[in-house]
Amino acid sequence: MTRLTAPSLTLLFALHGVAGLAAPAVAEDLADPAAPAATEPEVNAAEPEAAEPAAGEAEAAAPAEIDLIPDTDIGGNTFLPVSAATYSDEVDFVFYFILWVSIVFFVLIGWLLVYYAWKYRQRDKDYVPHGSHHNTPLELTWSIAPGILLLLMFIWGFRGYLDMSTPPKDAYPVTAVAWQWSWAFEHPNGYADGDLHVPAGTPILITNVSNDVTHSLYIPQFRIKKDVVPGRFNQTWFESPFNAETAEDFPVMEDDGVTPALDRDGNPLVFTYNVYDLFCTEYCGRGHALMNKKVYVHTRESFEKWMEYSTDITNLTPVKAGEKVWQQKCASCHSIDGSVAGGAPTWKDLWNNPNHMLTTGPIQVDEEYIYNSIVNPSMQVVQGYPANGMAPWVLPDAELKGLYEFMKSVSKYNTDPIARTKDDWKKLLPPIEATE
Amino acid sequence: MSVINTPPPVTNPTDIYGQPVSPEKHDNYLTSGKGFLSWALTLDHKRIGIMYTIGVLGAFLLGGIFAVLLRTELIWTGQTLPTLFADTWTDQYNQMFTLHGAVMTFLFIIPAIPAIIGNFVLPLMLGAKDVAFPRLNLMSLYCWLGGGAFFVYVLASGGLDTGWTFYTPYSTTTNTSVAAATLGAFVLGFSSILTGVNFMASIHMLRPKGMTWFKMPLLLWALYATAAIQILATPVLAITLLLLTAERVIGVGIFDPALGGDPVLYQHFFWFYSHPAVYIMILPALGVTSEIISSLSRKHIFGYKFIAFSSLAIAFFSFIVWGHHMFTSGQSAFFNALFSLLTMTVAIPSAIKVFNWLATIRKGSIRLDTPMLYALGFIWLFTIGGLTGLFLATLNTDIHFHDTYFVVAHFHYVMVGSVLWAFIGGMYYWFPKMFGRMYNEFHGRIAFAITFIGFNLTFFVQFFAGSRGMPRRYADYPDEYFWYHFASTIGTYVLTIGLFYILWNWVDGLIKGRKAPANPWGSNSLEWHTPSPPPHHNFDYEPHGVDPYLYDHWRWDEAVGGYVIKDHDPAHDGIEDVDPDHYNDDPPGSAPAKPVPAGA
Repeated sequence: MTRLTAPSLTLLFALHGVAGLAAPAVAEDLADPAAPAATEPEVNAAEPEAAEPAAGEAEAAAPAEIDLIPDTDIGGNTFLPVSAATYSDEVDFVFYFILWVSIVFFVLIGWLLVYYAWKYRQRDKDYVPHGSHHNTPLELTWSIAPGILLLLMFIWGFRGYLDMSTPPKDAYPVTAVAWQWSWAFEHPNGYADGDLHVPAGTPILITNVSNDVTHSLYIPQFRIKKDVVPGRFNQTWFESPFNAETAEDFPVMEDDGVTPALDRDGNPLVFTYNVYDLFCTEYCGRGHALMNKKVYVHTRESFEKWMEYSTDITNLTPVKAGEKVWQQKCASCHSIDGSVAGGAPTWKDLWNNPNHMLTTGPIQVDEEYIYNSIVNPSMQVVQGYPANGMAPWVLPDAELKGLYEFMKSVSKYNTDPIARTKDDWKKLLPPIEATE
Repeated sequence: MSVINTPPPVTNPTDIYGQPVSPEKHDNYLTSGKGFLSWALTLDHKRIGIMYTIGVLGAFLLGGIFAVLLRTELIWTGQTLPTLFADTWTDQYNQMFTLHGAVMTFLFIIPAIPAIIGNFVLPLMLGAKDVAFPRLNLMSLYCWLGGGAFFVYVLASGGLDTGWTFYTPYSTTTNTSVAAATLGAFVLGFSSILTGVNFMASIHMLRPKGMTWFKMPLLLWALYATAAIQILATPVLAITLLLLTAERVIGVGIFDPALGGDPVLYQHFFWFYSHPAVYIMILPALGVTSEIISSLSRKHIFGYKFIAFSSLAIAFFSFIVWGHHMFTSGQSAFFNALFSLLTMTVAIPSAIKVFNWLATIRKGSIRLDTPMLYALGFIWLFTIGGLTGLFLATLNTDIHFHDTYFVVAHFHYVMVGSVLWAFIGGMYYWFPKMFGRMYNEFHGRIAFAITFIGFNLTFFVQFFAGSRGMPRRYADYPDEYFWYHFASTIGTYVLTIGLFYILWNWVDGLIKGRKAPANPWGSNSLEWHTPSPPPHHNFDYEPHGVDPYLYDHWRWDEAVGGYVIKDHDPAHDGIEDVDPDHYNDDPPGSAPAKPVPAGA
């Protein structure tokens, strides 16, 4: 995960939310304790790029994360963010129409208010002005004239809304799964990522799924928002054209942060995309403000490379692969900071823990135990936890192996070597002999 | 400037003829009974109004403390305040905005104008001795206190972090004191209903001889429309909160999909009350503004019937627009379109009022005293609040603005900029009548300037933050939005200073203010036809309905520092218009209202 600077940052923020930690605690856990900036939010606000060069290592990037929420450059003008979806210009048109109507009315009313208040200020306390206090034609005029403008607003607003809520038939489907307090975006091939990666110039159909409470998916630059309601499958869609002017080239690095990763043909792997913001806009509790992700609108070629690279977890080192799996599939319940707020045993210091107690007695925490706990969680129940707290999971071998390595890396009892290089995959996943 | 008046000190209260009130009649509602029980068990609407004032202002202080704290938390990105009363600082922030919203909504802004100004003024405006059901009135005060006690319990027992909207399923899963808070809101709902019943009955039954429906002061029309909403909508909130409590405590499946419910159903139930509740707040404010605008312009209100019927129209429309809170919730496009169109219609009666007020002050004789400044400020802020509502009523722009700071700014312009402004303006306007003393005009105006600047600084920038995508209820935010939050927080401090300045101005007036004349403004509605403060039984004679917006028969009396009746013939006062040909909306020969003995 640490190859992708921005995504890795956002994953970390989600981690903070899931772990349910106050910012100083996060800083203590994840940051170099010597980093002096960790207690000074203003300092970080002023120097947001301080940790950028060290993006290769999550730990090194941590001191900057006292902000919890990454920098955004939302673009656009004084009134609106940059418009980046096919229908967002339509929204902006209606916006500016209402804005101008409002300005005209406000200037008229405000000016009359101040002008009258001053011009007709009281000079003689006994003066009682008499004048017409009744004029039906005038009343009808100022009732009906605004009505026409209102009708225009309604019609344009409704037409724009219909465009927003009518997805094309051939849209690329992505399922947005929200939970307290993070997101996963599932692609049709089954791959789920913490950020929303989509191809440019293609209609994208988003289906919202909530695992717990109500959330809301909001992408300001696309002007879309749709609640993620438990028990419903709310859908929305967008199509974002590729914008070459604001596009970024992102050279992918190996875990060491120096070596360029290579694509299948041996060329350096570079993603090209526009980046936009994604917020949760329905209040959902402690980590609500931290449910921020990014939208990466790739060129079609870059999207294919990204998908190919991301779906194969062995492109990461086993530990990092395990962390990514944990992040996407386990972190909403299992913490790695000792917290049990998720309702499940923490993974902190779990591996090889000599004091780990099941309802049936002590057990050694090793690969066999973890494997059984994943595929049949009710078989071995940890003392103090419900017997049916978790549903059985089927994970591919690489993900399982990665998880073991990750769990080792967060346990102080671990004595086994941890697979920290990509070469270790050869040992973890011995090649299967090809059979005809 | 001629409008600053420094009349000679007046030591004795004077009546509407400018004569000193005879010493045996000095006994007013404040002095006519002594001791704790004479207040706690009083049936006097004026005393109940005063007790509401103390309680509601206390709630305002509490909600205000949370507002200042939460704005301070947001002055910089990341954690700003130390974690004092929650598990984490984001939890603490969530509690602060929830308690700010819940306390301000249920304990302050809904009861503020009806329970304080309405209670004090409504029977006086009707020339009546009290409201129709004085005991019910006292009971509504105790319901308010009971509901307030629940909220104090919430504060002491783990707080509340659901947002004032209590959206499920979060509110059924969080471990804060949701049950106590919903019960508190439930009990407060009864307070609101009882006040509504009382006002409606009073307006129907207690109008004096000569006060036809169209000679009622517009505040009474507004309170009548408010009462209708309170009676019809509040029970829905009560039922909703009971269902929520049933689901949370007993596990009855209503809103939780895991139990076969639907969270969007909760939103429908909630907003079916809470949207009309917005008009429970704003309608009395519109009424207060109509009173002040006409009275301090010394000119008959323009378009009386249009203003009166626009209040009823707003009350009616308020019941059929709730769905505009749910454009993104997944309700069908058809419903969205319907609610969008219906919401647009609310703009028309609102615009009618604003245009009529402008027509009223045009060619008036505008006395720029503090109440008038607040009324004019109200029009300014209400216009901004109303116009920005257009962006939210329109479907595709609302999709962008929903649940952003744009919405926050919009409803603060309406709830604070408008309702609070009308409340403060109304308090200044009726202050002499309530307490029999005048506040310091100079300080009142300075305080207005400070609050006005502070308010606009706080909330105007939030429109831009929101339109650029800043979501609401965020404990932390991207650096992109730093300056908006910084400016907004500074504005909050200025606003806070202004509000304490106003409080000081009131307390100073209570203690040191000169004795108020019966009618400092030259208004003509009936509450100004009795000494300030009014006697226990309100009137020494049986008042008759008059056109409340005709000011011809009052003249300025420098000696009493107020207006007195031109014609010293007591038989003439309050019975008929001085110039009946000048204003006569009623068809010739229309029967006077049903004769109800005043003071009955």
